[in-house]
Amino acid sequence: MCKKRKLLGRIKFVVLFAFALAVLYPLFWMLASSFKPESDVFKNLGLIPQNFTLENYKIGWQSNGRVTFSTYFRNSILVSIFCVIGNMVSCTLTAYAFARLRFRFKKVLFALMMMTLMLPQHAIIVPQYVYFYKLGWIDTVMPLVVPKFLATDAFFVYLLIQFMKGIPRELDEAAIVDGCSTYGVFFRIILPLCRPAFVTTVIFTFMWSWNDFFTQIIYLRQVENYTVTLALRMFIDSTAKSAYGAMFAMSLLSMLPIMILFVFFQKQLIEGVATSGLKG
Amino acid sequence: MSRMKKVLALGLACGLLLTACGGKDAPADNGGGTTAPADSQAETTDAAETPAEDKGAVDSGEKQTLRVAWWGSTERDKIYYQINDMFMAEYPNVEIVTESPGWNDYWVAQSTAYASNSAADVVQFQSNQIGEYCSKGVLTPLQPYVESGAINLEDWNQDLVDTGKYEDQLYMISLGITAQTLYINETFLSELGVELWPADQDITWDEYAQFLQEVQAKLGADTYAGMDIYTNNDLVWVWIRENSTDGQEWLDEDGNFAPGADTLESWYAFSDDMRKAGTFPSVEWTQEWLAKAWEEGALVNRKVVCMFENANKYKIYQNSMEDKLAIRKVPVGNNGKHGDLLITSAFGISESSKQKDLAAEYINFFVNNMEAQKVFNQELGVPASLTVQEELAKTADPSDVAATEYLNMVAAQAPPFVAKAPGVWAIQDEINGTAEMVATGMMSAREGAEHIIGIANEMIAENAN
Amino acid sequence: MKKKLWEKYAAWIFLMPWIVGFLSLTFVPMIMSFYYSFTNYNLLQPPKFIGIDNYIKMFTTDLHFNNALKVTFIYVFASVPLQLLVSLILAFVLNKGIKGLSFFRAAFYIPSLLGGSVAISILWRQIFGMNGILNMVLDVFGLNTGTSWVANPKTAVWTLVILRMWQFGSPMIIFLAAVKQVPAELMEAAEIDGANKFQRTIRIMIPMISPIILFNLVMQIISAFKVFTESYIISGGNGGVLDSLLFYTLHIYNEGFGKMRMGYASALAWFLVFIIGILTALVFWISNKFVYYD
Repeated sequence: MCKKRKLLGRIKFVVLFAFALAVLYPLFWMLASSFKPESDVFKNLGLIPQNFTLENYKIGWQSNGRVTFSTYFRNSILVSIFCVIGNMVSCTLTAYAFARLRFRFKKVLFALMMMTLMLPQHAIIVPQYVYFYKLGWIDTVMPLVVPKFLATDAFFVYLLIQFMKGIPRELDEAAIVDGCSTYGVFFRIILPLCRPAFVTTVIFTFMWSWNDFFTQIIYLRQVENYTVTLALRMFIDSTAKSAYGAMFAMSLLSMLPIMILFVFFQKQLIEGVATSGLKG
Repeated sequence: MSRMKKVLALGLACGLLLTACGGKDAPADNGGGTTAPADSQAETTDAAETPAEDKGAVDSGEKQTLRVAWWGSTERDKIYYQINDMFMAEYPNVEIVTESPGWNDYWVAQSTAYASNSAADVVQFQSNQIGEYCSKGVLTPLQPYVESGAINLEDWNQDLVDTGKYEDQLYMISLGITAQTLYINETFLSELGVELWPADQDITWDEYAQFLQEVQAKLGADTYAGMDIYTNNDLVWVWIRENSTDGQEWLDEDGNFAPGADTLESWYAFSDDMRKAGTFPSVEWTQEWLAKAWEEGALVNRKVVCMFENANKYKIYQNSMEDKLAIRKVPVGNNGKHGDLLITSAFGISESSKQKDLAAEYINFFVNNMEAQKVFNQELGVPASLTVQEELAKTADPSDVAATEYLNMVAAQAPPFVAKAPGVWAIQDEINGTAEMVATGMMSAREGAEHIIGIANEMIAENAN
Repeated sequence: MKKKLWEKYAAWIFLMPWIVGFLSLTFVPMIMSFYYSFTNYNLLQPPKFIGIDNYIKMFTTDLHFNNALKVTFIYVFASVPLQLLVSLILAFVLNKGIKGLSFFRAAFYIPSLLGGSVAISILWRQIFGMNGILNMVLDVFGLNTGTSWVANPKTAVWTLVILRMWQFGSPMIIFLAAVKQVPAELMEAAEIDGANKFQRTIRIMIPMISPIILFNLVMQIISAFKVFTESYIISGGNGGVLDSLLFYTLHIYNEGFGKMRMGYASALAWFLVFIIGILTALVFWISNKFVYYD
């Protein structure tokens, strides 16, 4: 019985491992290609570069020669950090109200919020653009960042509401009996218990603002203000000489912050959700 | 760590500010407008722009900012930056701020920028868009600057200057001109034992079709005599011009879409016939290869022998292949009529610009300063200034010299330049999409032609606001 | 007294950022774009009211509209269920203690981290291209027909379905978290009752995590409808041969920003809002019967 289980476990492991390799193969291929000379990039399936070179990284980092990837990375990090802070603060506040508090028009407002979740960005981008222009925010990070401080990312509000609903109300009630105000409940009970959901919010916000393309191309105009995504796009313009090797090299570098964040937080992200705090 | 704290503090402050500001009973618009960052930002922008309104400010010691936009790429940007540096060296009080998204993003950025009145001072356009923007009054007429001598066009080829005109008004100063040409892999062709006609000889489309048949008969599998033309948005207008009255290739006297169903049908039919004859590849094949960069395309890789493309790419193609590449004129209509269309890339000045004088000086420097032009080196095609043409020819790549010769020849033969009316993008897109449906047999060539005419008239009506 | 007021209006104080954001950044622009949908608006001149012409054009002269709807529906209804199925199965498999769990979690999650980016889209275009990785693999088995999976209108959209399935990691993580929350006592009780592994999964696990499944389903449907970057990059911006990669959002983008037909693009966008609204309502209505809430 025990031996059979062990064998099954091993087979499962091998199958999963093979599956994981297949899933990740394209990324390994991109990694390998980033170390191949331009002419070898699209030639074979191999993962070991025959003519190993770091040239792609050197060329890629230089970008257009005037503004380098140091600038793009700085801009991307700045935007992402502000987005993360914005979402954390505003979405938590909003979610708490929807999850726990009673107020008039709650159902209507909730429905409106859910509607913004479904509203394609394209539907409101032009009026928004004109609006931000009037505020003098074109070519600044404000149009990318300020909406986050106003809880426009309904996804995270919804996520946090769902999470807060999972926190037993008895905890609130006990705290209120102990003399806590609405604010007290928020700061002492809800906030500490929401930590796992915060981790999700941080990672997703970071990831999305880091990978965002549509908003950034519309609002950022000068190359000096470009983010990493926009800079990557500069490599693949069909009217220009292609540089796949350099593009793959920079793509990989662009993924690095996300990967680091994930490695750093993954335990909390997954395990944290199931901690005893949830069950009271 | 302290840096992190700063960022955090800033973020929180920002959040609080916005929250606090929302507390007022003011309507949403005012709510956003009263935030501190917005106001200070707006004020500084205004402050920076005020001196520019003063016309005498160009040579005064005050710091000025000039915004310049072009469609860029990492390589192209380097050239513009170098020229901008040269300009700033001569005008130490001017700072040039640039915007250079890639081609597709560029037009999105420009349309939204003009919509919100925030376009750059100097903006690069292509002749296809002249009608689209000029008709809406967002560009400054440039004739006064030419007359005052701020922009010097004295030694320019007038045919080429005219490519910047819309309804007889000059709006754009050309940076470079190109036109469709027929690239032929001469080495490959002679290996096949097929002879090439002389460079100055005109052939008709029927003769071109025969030539393709002759070549195809000697080719192996997966290699084609010609690249398909149905995706070529510039060539379709050459075809239309060959089959229309001069000056009426776009709109007829009643303001309707001029090209007839017969003309469009014959355009689709040509491609279709060539595909059926096997001298053009399948639609999927064409799409696949067209998606590749120029230097890795079908022509360079000996997948096709002939291909229509813009003449200014001669150098790029020739330098990325070992075979000798020849250029020939685009075939004339079977009626013998030329239809060549000059395509210009040009600088215009936004009507919303507050420093048009400085913008004009910048453009003049860009197109007439020999050092600047040597750096630019025909980046967007042949320069319209004859002096610049001559000077560049001394040191130019032989392909560039050949392309210049070709364009001067074509400019002399081509029917006069007529700017396309607004709506041209939508119409060209429809011609393209319909070509695919015709190519795959989902529509007959006739149905396709009629569909185009219907859509085109719809677009023209929409734009006749 | 003051404290009471704070307490009384607590909800509104918490809601303040959202209300400001909703009114200024969503509601007002929404009304404006709704108005635009009944106009001819090229961005450069003031909008001109034309009634419901735009909505009529959608169903009459605009051939791309039909294509875009078809492609988008195939994409959404093929990729979302497949993606969720894969992620659910893997969540169950990984939940049963396995060696190297953290490695697998990380490995499977990585594609989701990178999925929607420009770089991955370019990579995908290469994988399924004529000389791409897939054809190189097929070549090994002598099955390479030399077609480009991306350029072939019959297969193009399926390469994007695969791209979405490839990103199964993110719903998997959420499922994994949910599965861990299911009380061990429940499972043990079922085991004592003689239910086998499979039965326990179907009868207890799935109902217990059904709110999370619903959450993922709704989120993935909505986000699948909004997919843009992949369609744009892989088709080169034009929607591919015969519109085979013309996603609805790309059509909106092309009409609005490409052809400067903001009025028409707004009408298209509002029709998309309508479709997503209907579908979401449908999902909630159906799931009302199946979803288990505490």
